[in-house]
Amino acid sequence: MSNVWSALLYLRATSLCNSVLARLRRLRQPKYLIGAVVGIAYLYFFLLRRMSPAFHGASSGAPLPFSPSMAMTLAAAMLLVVVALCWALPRARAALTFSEAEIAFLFPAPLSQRALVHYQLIGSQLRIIITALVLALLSSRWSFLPGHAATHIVGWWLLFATLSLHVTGSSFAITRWLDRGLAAPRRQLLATVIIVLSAGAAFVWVRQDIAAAAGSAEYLQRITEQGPLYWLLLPFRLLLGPLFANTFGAFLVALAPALVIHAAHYVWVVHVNVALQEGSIARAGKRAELAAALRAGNFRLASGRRARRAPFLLAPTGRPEWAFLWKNLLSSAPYLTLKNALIAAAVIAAGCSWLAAHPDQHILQRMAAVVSIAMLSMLLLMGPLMARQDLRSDLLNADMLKAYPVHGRQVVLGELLTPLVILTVASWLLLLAISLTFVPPRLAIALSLRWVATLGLAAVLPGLFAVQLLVMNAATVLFPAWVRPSAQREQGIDVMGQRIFVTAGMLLVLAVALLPASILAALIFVLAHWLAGVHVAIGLAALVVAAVLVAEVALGIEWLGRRFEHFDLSAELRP
Amino acid sequence: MTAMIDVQGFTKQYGDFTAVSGLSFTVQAGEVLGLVGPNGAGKTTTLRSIAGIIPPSIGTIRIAGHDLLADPIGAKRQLAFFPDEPRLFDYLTVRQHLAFVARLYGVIDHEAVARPLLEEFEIADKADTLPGELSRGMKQKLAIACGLLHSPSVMFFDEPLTGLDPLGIRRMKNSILQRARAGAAIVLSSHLLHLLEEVCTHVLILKRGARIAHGTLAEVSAAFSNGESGVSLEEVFLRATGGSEG
Ligand SMILES: Nc1ncnc2c1ncn2[C@@H]1O[C@H](COP(=O)(O)OP(=O)(O)OP(=O)(O)O)[C@@H](O)[C@H]1O
Ligand SMILES: [Mg+2]
Repeated sequence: MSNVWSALLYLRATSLCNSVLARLRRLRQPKYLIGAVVGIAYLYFFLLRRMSPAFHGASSGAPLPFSPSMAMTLAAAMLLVVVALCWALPRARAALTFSEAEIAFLFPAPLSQRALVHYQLIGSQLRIIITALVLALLSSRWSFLPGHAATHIVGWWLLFATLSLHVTGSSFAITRWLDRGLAAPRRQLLATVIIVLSAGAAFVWVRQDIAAAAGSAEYLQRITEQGPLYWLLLPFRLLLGPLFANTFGAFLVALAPALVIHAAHYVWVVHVNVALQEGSIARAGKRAELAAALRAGNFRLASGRRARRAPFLLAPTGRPEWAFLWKNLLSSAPYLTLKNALIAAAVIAAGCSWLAAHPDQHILQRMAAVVSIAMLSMLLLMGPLMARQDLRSDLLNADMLKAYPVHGRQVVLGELLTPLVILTVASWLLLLAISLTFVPPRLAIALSLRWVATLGLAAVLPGLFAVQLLVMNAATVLFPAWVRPSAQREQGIDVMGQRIFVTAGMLLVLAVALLPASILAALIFVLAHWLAGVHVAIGLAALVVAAVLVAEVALGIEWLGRRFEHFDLSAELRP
Repeated sequence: MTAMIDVQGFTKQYGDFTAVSGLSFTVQAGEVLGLVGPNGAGKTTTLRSIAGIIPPSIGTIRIAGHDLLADPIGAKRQLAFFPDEPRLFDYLTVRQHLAFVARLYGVIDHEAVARPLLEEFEIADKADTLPGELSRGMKQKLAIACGLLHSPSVMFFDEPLTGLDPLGIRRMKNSILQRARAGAAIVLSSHLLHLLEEVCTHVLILKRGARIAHGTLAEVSAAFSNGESGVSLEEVFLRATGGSEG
């Protein structure tokens, strides 16, 4: 047995070593070198700034956004939501994911399931440790998080390692239930019923037992520190304990229960994994047959991918851009459908109108508004990074795309459409929630004006997303090796530098793109306000911003399409 | 009659490395040109360039009368390119691949066209599976079916026969011959010389990016036969590229 372990460890260690070496060798290419320099400089100044006493003086004077205990409550509640989503969101069949080479070498080898599971768990550790280190660097500057960088490293590691185990474990447990005949709709129904029931119970309890408090922070504190919500959040608080400990002693005390939670997860994941794998192998016949099937290209067990129903009927003639939208929608998550968007819109409209019509619920209404605004800002900043159903995931097929009888600009526009549609719909849903719940402080706004502003914002949002998506796709075409269109995402200082580069570039382009739009819009606003009143002025200004953004994106697409026509993936990806 | 494929002075450089230099040839309707040469001779580079995937460094390429640089869309409507590794979209089923390609080429009755193709290649029963669940040969057959959907008049195959089963090879050969008889111009590269002999009307031997021989099968074997008769293409290839054992 110890041979097996040393072999697997050897494989992990040499792979890591060689990837570091390959990365160093890549620095001979100037664009990688720039990335590495930016990354190292960023880390260096970060550390330097952190170490210098002047910086500490500056930060201690800054006002606290939250108190530590408030921050911990919010973090625990967030974890609760993540964990609930883990169980409720529909997901593909779980399986340990192995690369083709790993399947070819490890599956026919005399290894136990347990060993394979551990091999996978070790593999995810590297990512988690790096995440913990980077976050500890960041978080030791946060005033609402007490403690020391060293305790933060352990705290973040415990949090992410446990969370990752929970995500894996839940997906395996769900798959096992599926195999035992619990169909997906029934599971979702069950999870939804449980969530709705507990939310209802919590709501009733909050209304009956908690006296209204003056501020919403105090109110939140009161709800979460007594009764059922306290018990519900307790495991999450325990897990967060080491991260939020303010002294070394408190850290040690908090460490014990958090480690117990982590260990329990570990035992659980290994148990369900082994049970599931053995089950699936028993179903697939003998293990050698499974390995042979996998090697012959039948990745069904490994990939767990399911075909999606076509999002709409693709007519055989028409603009080719729609064909790309159709194709890329097929690669998005199966719950992203028009029907679900409409359901969500109806639920949001009904729920938020109800809140707005009941003045005694103003705290909930305010919370809904704050959450929606926060989510919309997140979506604006992070959405284009996360929705990647465009050239970023289609780059390996560039040869094929270029052989089709379509212009480069048509390919680029077609590829942009899917993330644009997804982000636009999501942002409009959030905007709907905001417009129904947000009451600007000390400012009475007429209902008509509120709707004009909402519609104006709705018209501008797609343009904002389009500019960002265009920049990311341009980065993909200009520097394909940065985006590495491979199955696994690249990590490391050089890649981090490249990301910073792209993000900085994106913000710059966004600023440049918005500049002419805003100047023009401001002029029009002043003029129209003077001539025709504020409603018309807001509407016109929004339309102008939207139109300018569209024009800029059109120019960008034209240019990028030309670049794409001259693009050669094979030449770009040479080491 | 103008040539279906007309390549003049084609040169391709990667940085300062010249992969193909000064290549000229034409292919008429109904002809099948076999592109042969040792590994790294520049076959794939040539095929990708004349299919409009990578621009040539120098030279002009005309496909069915359309200049590939000036009118790429018109040229690409006429042609189909089959790469050496089948490239498919991970999330599209076999049927969805065909629907997607049909839209790009505007093939109206694509279901009627696709059905016999899928049956010919024996993947009709996989119509609703994702590429991840297909074998390598099946993926290749799907890529071929996608390319043939719009009945191209010019076809480029890069190593079309590797990975196919014996029946698949036979079908592929027949399919190529049949399409050539129907008036298509075809260029294919392969290392399986005895199979090339059965389908090609012409051969072009490349070595290190330069043309060594070009002509009908008979002309090329005559040039390297040293007066012998019935020399195989394999022997011609070995003599032409200087790798002969004898
Ligand atoms: N993107 C690229 N960048 C630099 N050099 C390249 C690139 N693609 C090909 N080459 C070089 O060009 C030459 C021709 O390559 P090509 O792929 O056309 O050969 P081939 O004839 O298809 O070989 P094979 O029989 O192995 O398929 C080779 O020396 C190769 O190393
Ligand atoms: Mg080749």
